[in-house]
Amino acid sequence: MSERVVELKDVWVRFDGISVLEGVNLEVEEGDFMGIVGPNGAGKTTLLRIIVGLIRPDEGYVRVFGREPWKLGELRSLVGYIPQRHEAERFFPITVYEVVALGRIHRRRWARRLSGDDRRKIEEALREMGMLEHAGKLFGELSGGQQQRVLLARALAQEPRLLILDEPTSGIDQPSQENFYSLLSRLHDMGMTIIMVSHDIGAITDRVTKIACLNRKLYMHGCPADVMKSEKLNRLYGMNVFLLTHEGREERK
Amino acid sequence: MNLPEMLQYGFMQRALMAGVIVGALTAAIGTYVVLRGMAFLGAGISHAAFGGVALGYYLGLNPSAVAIIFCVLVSWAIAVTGRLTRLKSDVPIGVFFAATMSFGAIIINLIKEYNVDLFGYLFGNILAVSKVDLIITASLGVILMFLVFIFYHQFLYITFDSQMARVSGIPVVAMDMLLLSMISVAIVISIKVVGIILVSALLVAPSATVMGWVRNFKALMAFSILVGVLSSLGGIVISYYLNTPSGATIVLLLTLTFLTSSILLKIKKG
Repeated sequence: MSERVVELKDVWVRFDGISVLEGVNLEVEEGDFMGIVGPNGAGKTTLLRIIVGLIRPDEGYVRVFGREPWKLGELRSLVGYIPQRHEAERFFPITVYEVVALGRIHRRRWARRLSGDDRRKIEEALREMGMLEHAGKLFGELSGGQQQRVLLARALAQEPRLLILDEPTSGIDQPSQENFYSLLSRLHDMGMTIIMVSHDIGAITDRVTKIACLNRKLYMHGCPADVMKSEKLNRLYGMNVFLLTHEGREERK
Repeated sequence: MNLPEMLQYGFMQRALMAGVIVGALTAAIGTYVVLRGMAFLGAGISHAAFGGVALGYYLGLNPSAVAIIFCVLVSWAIAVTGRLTRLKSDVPIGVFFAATMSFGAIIINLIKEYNVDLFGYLFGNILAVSKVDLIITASLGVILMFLVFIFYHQFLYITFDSQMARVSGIPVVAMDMLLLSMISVAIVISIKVVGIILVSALLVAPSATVMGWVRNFKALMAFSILVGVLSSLGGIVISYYLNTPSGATIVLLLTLTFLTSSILLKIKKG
């Protein structure tokens, strides 16, 4: 049986008395590629921020690798996180290599220099993401798609077992999106557990192995094929949903 | 009067040494101030120093020591108020900026025997750098530079993306408080050289000058320190020959450097 990587039971979050998440239950097992979809303001980012330990829920049970996410300790390096599109200042003086090197920080307490092992992992991550030849470039000079690949390389450099991505392809052109999803699929094939949030159902249903639909409550949770046939999808978005998949199929729900 | 002659004066030796320390320190810490968009915070903290200095005089304690504690507390208060009220960071800075100056004005008014060199504190008084001041400045400067070096990766990560840094296990709130404390100390020990009103330029101008020319963070810090040190030394030397206030001369030299750099950068990039 696969290890349970993420477990949420009856999780409630309120901001200024307004419910953002209502009784959410979610399980993610090792090797899953889970997509979380839902309209804007559904609480998707909040859910991810709970999983990575940035927010504590008002009520409920949350475990990541069997521990509360804000008390992960040395297991913290197992969680790679890419928040919503990072708008880097164009002149922020940091190279692609330096960004990826930040992923090794948990192994480089204080002012320690990069070890040979650190350098190997950084180069591996850059190569994996096809960004090795850009290592000396300024991060801010890259295109949106390239920047996301660099941030993914940074997450990989910390050798995570769980990758969490918040709308990783928003604001990125279609070919770059395809390229990015292919990279994620390859990582998943290599055994990485991935949780990805998107408002674009069509873009992710072909890629993920499980899907959860969120609009404050978690409406469905299962295989994409089953979830997409459900009438509940319309309730989630509050309207009829046209689903465009990557094969060009159009299916009216 | 030639340069070696100028160096024969003890006060000039101390002024130049203080200028090197203060120029390097504020430029190094200023890289984070500029990249994190905290320039106004620098101005806010430096003006709070006025309240601290006044309080020190009123209590009969060392004004600089009291100003350090006062500025650290005010910087933390600005951060905590910002978090609690969820207002944009410039709002609590604007409030504390005026409040601490007002506090200082009231305290100065309460001092019966008025012999405070107010103008010196506001605009700097290089002649007032004593041996003890220099030892304190050097000691605190070494401690702060050590902290900049030790926490280099952590501060860089937080500056680049504080959310990712938090998830990576960096105690972002504690590190922010440490950075605010470091900014406060750097500001207070720079006051004798450039003054309360002008000190924020030392924090901001060197990295603003270098930004756009460098391609990595280490280079930004190294060249900012170079600009900070050379501007401080240059300003002190020019002020000696032109008989102008040293703080104002340093700041105007820095401004000139920044403007020249910006124009050259614009020409270079088209």
